[in-house]
This record gives sequence, C-alpha cells and structure tokens, in this order.
Amino acid sequence: MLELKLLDRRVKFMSVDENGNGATKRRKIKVNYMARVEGEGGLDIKIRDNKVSDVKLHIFEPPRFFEAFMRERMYSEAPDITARICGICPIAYQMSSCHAMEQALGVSVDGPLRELRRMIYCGEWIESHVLHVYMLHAPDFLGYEDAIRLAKDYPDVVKKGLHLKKIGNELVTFLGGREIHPINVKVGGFYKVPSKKEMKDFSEKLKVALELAQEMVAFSAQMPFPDFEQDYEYVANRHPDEYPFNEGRIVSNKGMDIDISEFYDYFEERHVEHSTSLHAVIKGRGAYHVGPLARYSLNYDKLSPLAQEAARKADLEATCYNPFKSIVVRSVETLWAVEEALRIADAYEMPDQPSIKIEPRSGEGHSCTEAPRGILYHRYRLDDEGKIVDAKIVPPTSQNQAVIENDLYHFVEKFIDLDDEKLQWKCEQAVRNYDPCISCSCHFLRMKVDRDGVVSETK
Amino acid sequence: MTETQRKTVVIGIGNASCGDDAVGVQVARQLKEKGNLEMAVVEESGEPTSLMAAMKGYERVILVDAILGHGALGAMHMIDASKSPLPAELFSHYSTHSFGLVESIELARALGELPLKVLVIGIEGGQFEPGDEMSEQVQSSIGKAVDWILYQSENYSYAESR
Repeated sequence: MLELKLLDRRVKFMSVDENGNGATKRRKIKVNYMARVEGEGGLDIKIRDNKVSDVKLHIFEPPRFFEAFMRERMYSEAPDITARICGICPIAYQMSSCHAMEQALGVSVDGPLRELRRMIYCGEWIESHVLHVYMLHAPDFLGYEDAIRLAKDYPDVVKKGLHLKKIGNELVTFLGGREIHPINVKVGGFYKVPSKKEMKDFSEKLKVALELAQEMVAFSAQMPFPDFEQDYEYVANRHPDEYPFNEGRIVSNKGMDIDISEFYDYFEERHVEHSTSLHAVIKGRGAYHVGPLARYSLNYDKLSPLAQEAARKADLEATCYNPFKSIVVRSVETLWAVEEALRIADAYEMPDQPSIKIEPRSGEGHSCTEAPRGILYHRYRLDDEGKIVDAKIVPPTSQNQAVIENDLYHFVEKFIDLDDEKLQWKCEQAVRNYDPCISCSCHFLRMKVDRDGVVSETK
Repeated sequence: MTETQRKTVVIGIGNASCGDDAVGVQVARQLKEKGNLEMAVVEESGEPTSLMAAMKGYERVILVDAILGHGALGAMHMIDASKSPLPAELFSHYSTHSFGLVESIELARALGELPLKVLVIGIEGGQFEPGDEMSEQVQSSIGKAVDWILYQSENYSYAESR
C-alpha cells in the first residue's frame, strides 16, 4: 500500500494580480458556466477577545436567474436549460427536471429507461467525486497547495485518479451524447439508447474502474483526520430497495420522513443580509446537512456488500459525523456507483423505444434527486399547452450553507490560536468538506479574518 | 509527411454553441475538412482528463483556444508552453472549461505526460455566452489559424529546441 507523507505546508495564498503576476491562485477549479453571472464567494470570520463572534459565508446563486428565465418555455426545454446551471453536475439538473416534469405530466419512466437514468447518474457521481477527492481535497489533507504539486510527488496516485475520472466522463458521454452539457436526456427518457453490444463493450471499462475505485477508498482512508464531530441533522432521499438517486422519500436522522411534494411544508428558504443566496432551513429546527455524509449515514444498509466492506476497512462506521471524512465517503460512493453501473450494464436489455410518449397538459410536479453534493429539488407548474408557469430550484450547496457556517464557527474556535494564514487554510479545508459547487454557489472563497478589528484578507 | 508532423496533434478547444468560444473547435473542423492531413486533429471541450489524454503520446501539440480579448478581437497569440506555464490571466478568467487549460498543461507536465513541444494559439474573443454568434473578426481568424498551422507551424521555434 502506498505510504503517504505529510509535508510541512508552506501556507501561501498567492494570487494573480491584475497584470498577471504571481503564481496561480490557490486551488481554483473553473466550471463551465457563463462568466458574467459568476459570483465571488467570500468568508468573513469575526473574532473578538479570542472568541468567534461571527461567521458569514457569502455565496452567489445563479439558479434564481434560471427560475425566471424558464417561465413561458416548454416543459421539454427544462432539462437542457437547467443543465446549464452547473457544468459539474448537469445530469443532476436534467434528472430533477425530467422527474418533476413527468410527475406534472402524469407519466413515469420505468424498466430499462429508468436503469439507464441511474447509470448516467453513476457517471456523474464518479466524475464529480473523483475530481473533488484527488484534485481538491487530497492536496488539502496532505499539505499541498494544489493537485499539480501533489502530482509531482505522487504521479501514480494522480494518474489513477485521472483514469477513473476519465471513465466517469466516458460513461456520461456514452449515455448523454457529450461530456459537458449532455444533450441525450429528455423528458420521457432519451433521444437515443445504446444497443446491447455497445453496452457490453462499455462494461469492460467499468471493470477497470472497479479496481481503481477500490484503490481510491484505500487512498482516502489514509488521510489524517482532525477530531471534529458535529450533531448534524442529515437529510437525504431514501428508497425502499436501492441506494438513492432519482426517487424516494426525503428522510432525516431526526425523524423526518416526507413525500417530496411536501418539501416546502418542512423546509423554508430565508433571506439573510450577507448573501444573495437564500439560507435553507428545516422549519422550527434550523440548519441541516445534505450530500455524501447524509446519504451514506441514512442509507448505509442499501450499499452493496463490496462498498460496505470497503467502508469498514477504511474505518468508517455505518454513520459518520466527521465532515472531514467526507473524502472517504465520496470514495465509497464512487466504488458503489461503479458497481451499480456495472450491474446495470450486465443486465441491460435494449428498450423498444428510447422514450415514452408525452401529452402536454397542465399540472404541478416535484422532484428531488441526489446530485453528487446532495438533494436537488425542482418544482414546476405547467399550463394546458405544457408551458412553464412557475419554476423553483433548490440546489444542494445553498442547503448546506447554514451548516457550513456552523461548522466553521466551531472549527475556528478550536484552532483560534493559529496565525491567520494557517487558520485560513484550515477553514478552506473545512469548507471544502462540502465540495461547494462553485458555479451554483461560490466562485471561490475570499477569506477575511477580523481579529478585534485587525483585518487580514486573502485575495 | 515529416517525422514531426506524424507526431503532431492539433486540439481545438471550446464550446461550439458559445459564440467566440467556438473558435478552437471551428479551426479543428476546418482542418479536418481539408483532408489528407499530416497531423492528427481532435476537438475537445476543455475538460482536463480528456484533454490530457488527447495530448498524451505525441511529440508536438498545437492547442487552439479562445482567450479573453485585450482590445484586438480575433488577434492570434502564439504562446510556447513547452518549458513554462501559460500566462494564467489570458485563459482562466473567461475560460468556460472546468479546470483551465493552464492547469491541465501543468498537471500533464507534473506527470511527465506533456509533449516535448507545446504551442497554444490563443485567439482573442469577446462574447462567450451560450447562443451568442461568433464575432466577425474571430470568424475571419479561423482561416488564418488553419493556414498558419498547415504551412507555417513547422518552422516555429520552440523553447525546447532553442
């Protein structure tokens, strides 16, 4: 097994100035998103008398623009329009919009088409989780400024990560038609589906991915984890027979168990002064946590035996309340997603039709699917012609915003004696536990620490 | 076909439906239409893992991508990245890709997978939104880039060979 060494991290927050001088700005991953509405995220931490007095995460939320933009459009346009909200998780947006539209239109997609939807979602989880684990999160834990520096010392590790990510990309391209902004998904199914032979050929790649994903779990399990557990309310989908993707009920570890259409009866979004984003909270209770840790802790029993065994070997229990261990949970979910894709590929029979027939009608539909970062809720109302009258989208990162602030509050308290630079690095790592989708929410973090009025800031 | 040409790949990067961002892809398509090429030509979205895989194994790579305009719409910038990183400010701010070209090249370099000769042709663009048309000036630079790649790139002097 690979041995990892910890570097003395030279904490530097270099940035490119207006003239292009300076090295590349910290870890920055750009997403496929319209430049003009990309926002700048920021984190303000206020410390008074060596105690945290305030933590504010500022994020920027493009989905609001899209909600307005979609009115008057046809129901059939929603998957393609919403897929453009996020370059990293377009499938999640397509799935949530398709399922909500299908509910509004009174149809449901079953059999091999439903399986293909699960399979393409597996591709997105693999891509997204692998990118985050190897390119963003692992360098944090191991004391590297970015994946490029990590790659110099551990080329084989990074190469394996890239290989696994590539198979995830290929899976999305195989079923989605193309890699970024897939175009093959539609309300009612797909435009085109693979033949049995094509599916069989593809499954060879997944067999390679299965090995790589097992190594990914072992790799992430070796990270040094700070001792930091929080009493979260975890919220995720739960389905009677499967690890959740597209369907189920919304449940929590504190007693919630609701139908998706009841979303707004239990959750509310509040405007807060410091952000254009809305803070999502459970009515009467407050912050909640969505994403891999929530999904895992609420659905451990639905993982495959192989994924459960890998989790056990990685020292994970059936529930996990340390947000830093999300890197291991993402790896376990990646392994599960590869296995699930393989299972679907092996059992595949080509459907008679690539999609089911849809008759426009008026109606309301809700859907909540499991994006890599957590539940993504969509609601639409349609008029008689199938035109969108009203659209609501609640992305995962804005749901986690309050819980990220809470984490930081407690986390900063624990590390308050560190100097500002080190503290900022720790905070960045703590925020990254949530893999905040930078296009849906924060572009990248600028951090400001205000210690009794003395302000230090990263750019 | 010379030995260098046989070992060359031209990669056009961009999104065909995002205005000037399509320029790299258009250059690749026009090259392919010429036929009888003495070099490999591919289109890429800019996604890092696919991009890195597309370069791997070649001796020379010519990457064509749109860059943020600096006042000369359609102008071509030839940037040699064989030995040193690309100037980040030209590529990252307006890049619509998921892990900039700059980072992809550096990651390939760190892994020892970067071709010996790396040339980036950056074409200044102005509009990058989905549904935008390509600017006239950028449009007219497509043919120029194609000709340069076909007839002049062979003579380009790389840092590597200096």
